[in-house]
Amino acid sequence: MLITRVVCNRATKPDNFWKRRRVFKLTAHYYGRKRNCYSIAIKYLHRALAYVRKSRQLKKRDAIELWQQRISAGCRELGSSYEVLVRGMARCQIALDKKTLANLAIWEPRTFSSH
Amino acid sequence: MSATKRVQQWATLSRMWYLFDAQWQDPFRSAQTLALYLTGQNKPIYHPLNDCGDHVVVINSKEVALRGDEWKKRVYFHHTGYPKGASWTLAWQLHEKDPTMVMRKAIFKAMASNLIRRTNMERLHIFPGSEIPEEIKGNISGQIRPVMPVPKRLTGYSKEEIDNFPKVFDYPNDYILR
Amino acid sequence: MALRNLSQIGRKVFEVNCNKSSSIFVASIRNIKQVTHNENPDGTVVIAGNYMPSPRANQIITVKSENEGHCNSCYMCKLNLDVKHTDVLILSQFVRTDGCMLPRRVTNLCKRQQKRIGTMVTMAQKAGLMSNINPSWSHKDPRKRYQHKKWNSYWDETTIKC
Repeated sequence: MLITRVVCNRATKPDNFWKRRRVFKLTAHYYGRKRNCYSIAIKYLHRALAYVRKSRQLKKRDAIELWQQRISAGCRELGSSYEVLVRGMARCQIALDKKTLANLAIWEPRTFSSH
Repeated sequence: MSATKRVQQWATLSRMWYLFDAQWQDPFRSAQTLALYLTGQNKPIYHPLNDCGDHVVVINSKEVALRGDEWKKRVYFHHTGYPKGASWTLAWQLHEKDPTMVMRKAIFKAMASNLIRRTNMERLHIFPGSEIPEEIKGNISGQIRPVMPVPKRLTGYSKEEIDNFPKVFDYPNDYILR
Repeated sequence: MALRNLSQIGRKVFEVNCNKSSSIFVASIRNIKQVTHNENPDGTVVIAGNYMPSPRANQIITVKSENEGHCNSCYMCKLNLDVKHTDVLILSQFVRTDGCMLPRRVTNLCKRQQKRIGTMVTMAQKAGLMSNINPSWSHKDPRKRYQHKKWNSYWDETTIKC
């Protein structure tokens, strides 16, 4: 849509347009000018992507922590402790991971108590 | 869902009421245990967003024991917010004013600092003596083990027990008993 | 009338009463010597101070293991017990009735154990666990104390420096 020569020069180039569109798609759920203004949006997007990268590790760490808390809670019910369980399982060569143990502690307490 | 499963679910998510006798217990060491019960970390179904904490009733909080000379060394700070509003209270002074405060503050400190900390603290009931109101006493269904052995005074033993206890040494021949 | 063994009786006997009609004097429980006053058929009177058996003589525990602790000469080291300040039944054996720790020449401990046990006796007394071993006029009952001494406290034995 050519209106005037001046406006035509001011209009964004197609490449530039698609680049911005990619960014705006990712910032669509933000609030305020960080949704619509490119220079502000790109700053917040970079920050957000850095958070995402970091939290990929944190998510795993949180899950491990939660399983440990659940297993130690299950052990405390039986009068034992998490360290005793882990050491005993290593000695008996039982290769169950924390996730399985936590699930056993919740859903099958009798199976868990046999460990 | 079958009736038994439904009841099992109610039982899983119901709140227990635990009794803890604080006699001769260190408030800071017992707080580590009590905080687990208040936040729900004593259950395998624990999740940070899962509100599954239990009630804890602490009795005999007047009889707590602090290590060494901590009664005169431990200081509690408070600031009113106004200029010159700072005040420092020694532990024994605080315990004289309110015998439940040392225990309450110890447990508050032992819990993680987050938005549900104060909600969890509401489930803590501390009594300075062994008297519990009837409506709370009726709820209690469990007991938390003491974290430290309760010492027995020498007056608590009978004379036979003291006399018959094995002796480690004999007096010298010329010693006069006093 | 011959007096024998009078020098042995020494200052430990204060209840020597020759005018008493009974033939045997039993010394009070505080004294470890017993004074006997016998009259022989030939008219001689013998007053003797004999050692009384100690009240705890047949309750002494014998040590079997050797040289497991700090030294091998002292019985507490040989026993190798983990004594806490709450073990008042053991600690009260080292204490006089007025609450003082017995000296080392009486207890026969090594220096290290004497220090340890003396400190633990102090700890037990501060915690009010042995409040009945003291003179009747003293206020060692924790509830009668003032300020920070009023409340319960416990001690850690690892803080004993020796």
